[in-house]
Amino acid sequence: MTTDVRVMTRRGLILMLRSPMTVAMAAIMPIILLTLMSVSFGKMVLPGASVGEYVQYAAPVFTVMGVVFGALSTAIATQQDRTSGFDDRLRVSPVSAVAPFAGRIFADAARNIGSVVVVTAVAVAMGFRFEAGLSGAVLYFVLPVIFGFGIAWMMVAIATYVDSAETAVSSTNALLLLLSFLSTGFVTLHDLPGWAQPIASANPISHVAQAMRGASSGGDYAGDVVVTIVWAIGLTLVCGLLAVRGYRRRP
Amino acid sequence: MTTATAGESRTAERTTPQPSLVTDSLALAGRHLRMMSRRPASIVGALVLPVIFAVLFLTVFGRVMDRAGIDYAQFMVPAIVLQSVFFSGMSISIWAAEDATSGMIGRLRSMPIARMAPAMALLIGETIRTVIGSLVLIVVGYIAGFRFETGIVGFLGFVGLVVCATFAICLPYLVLGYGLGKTEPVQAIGNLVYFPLLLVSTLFVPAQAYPDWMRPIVENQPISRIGEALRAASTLGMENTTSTVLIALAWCAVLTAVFAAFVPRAFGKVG
Repeated sequence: MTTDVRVMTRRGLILMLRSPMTVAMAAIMPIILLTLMSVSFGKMVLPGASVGEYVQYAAPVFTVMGVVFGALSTAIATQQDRTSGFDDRLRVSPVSAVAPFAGRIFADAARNIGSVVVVTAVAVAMGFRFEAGLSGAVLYFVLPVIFGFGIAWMMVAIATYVDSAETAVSSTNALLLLLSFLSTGFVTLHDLPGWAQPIASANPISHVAQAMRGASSGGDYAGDVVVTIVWAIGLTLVCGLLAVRGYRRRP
Repeated sequence: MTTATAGESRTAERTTPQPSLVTDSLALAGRHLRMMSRRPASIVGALVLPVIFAVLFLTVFGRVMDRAGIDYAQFMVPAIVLQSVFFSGMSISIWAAEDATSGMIGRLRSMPIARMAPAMALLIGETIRTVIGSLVLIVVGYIAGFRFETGIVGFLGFVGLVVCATFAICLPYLVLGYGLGKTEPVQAIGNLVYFPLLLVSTLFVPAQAYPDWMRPIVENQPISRIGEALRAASTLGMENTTSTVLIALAWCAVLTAVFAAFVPRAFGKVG
């Protein structure tokens, strides 16, 4: 199984190298949103604050959005494997059922590390600072990648069950938008209307963003780190099982 | 003899193609609308996504704007409508690129139809889609507290401006779609144009929210101007309503004229 996963990871990485546009977009989109939304909404959300102060608050959510929306290309690629016949070819060969998914997701993790680093570099240029020491900074980079790992399994599971890449993208795109915005990533919890507050507090993206905010700006964030890791493990186990089951069952 | 010639001319009449730009465009526009209605991504992009954005912006930024003294439902509906016009623009560029690569245009060129009908058809189809989507957004806006304070005249002016804006925004995207002819780069470039124009504008936040040096750019870029005109058509108590609308119409006219001139060139190079 480890050999299979290694081969599939290599394939995922090679495929990424051959479509540099998709990889670049994974980093460019969050950068565009980070710069433009901080400039336009920053002063409204935090009255009297500078753009840099808003970036200090909001950079985590843009970084997470980069990872989460980057996972859309995971869904597309998984779906393409199903329609191109690659899947069928693998299934008649003695290859572990986990390997095609796991390989793709490990390759994606590599892309996510890249996107997190690039987005953070832009945030630093706009005034973002690591104020909570080296361990906090390391945690800041690790958390979104761990969370992205869980989200990628969710994408793979969805792609295994829906019939076209377009359906996979348009349905998950809407879900990811709702998750990203109905969170405490852009505005503080008490600035959300009453009905949205319980949703935002339960939303995993709020927890990731809060944990990253704690890791960069300081404060008590251990609870949010634990919740982030639990979400990542939960998504990996549940969606991983679903994906492998769907893969084995298909005629 | 006479009957024979009459018969001949009848056959000639029947077989000589007489393409009409209007009927051909409408027939192909019907195809475009039918194809969109069968593609989940198109329905989501035309109707679901704009509504989601409207709800999200109202939810996430409503209280913040309230604090700044802005009635956000009234302020934001024109912005969301313009955003959905951009979604139509992206849609037209993707369909144009798909028609270019799938061989559809080659097939149509070999038939006796008006030369520019395929391009006109996409524009007509997207305009219909945009108007329907805008009406849905206006209904959603009404639930949130948006009102046409200007009455029926304001409403009609609003819809008219939306149609003008659709031409001004869709034509550049149409040139892009035919010009590049591949969906991936078309989507990427379309996004790169869309985000700065939409987000660095007075659509979602007032001009005061920007740093001083940015304000002249933000206030004078075409999308802000069109958004202000839509606001003038729906909200009472704004200053210089007439000149606001005229500047927006001038922008629409210039963009439409310039890019309409490029469409035949881009279309001619396909294939």
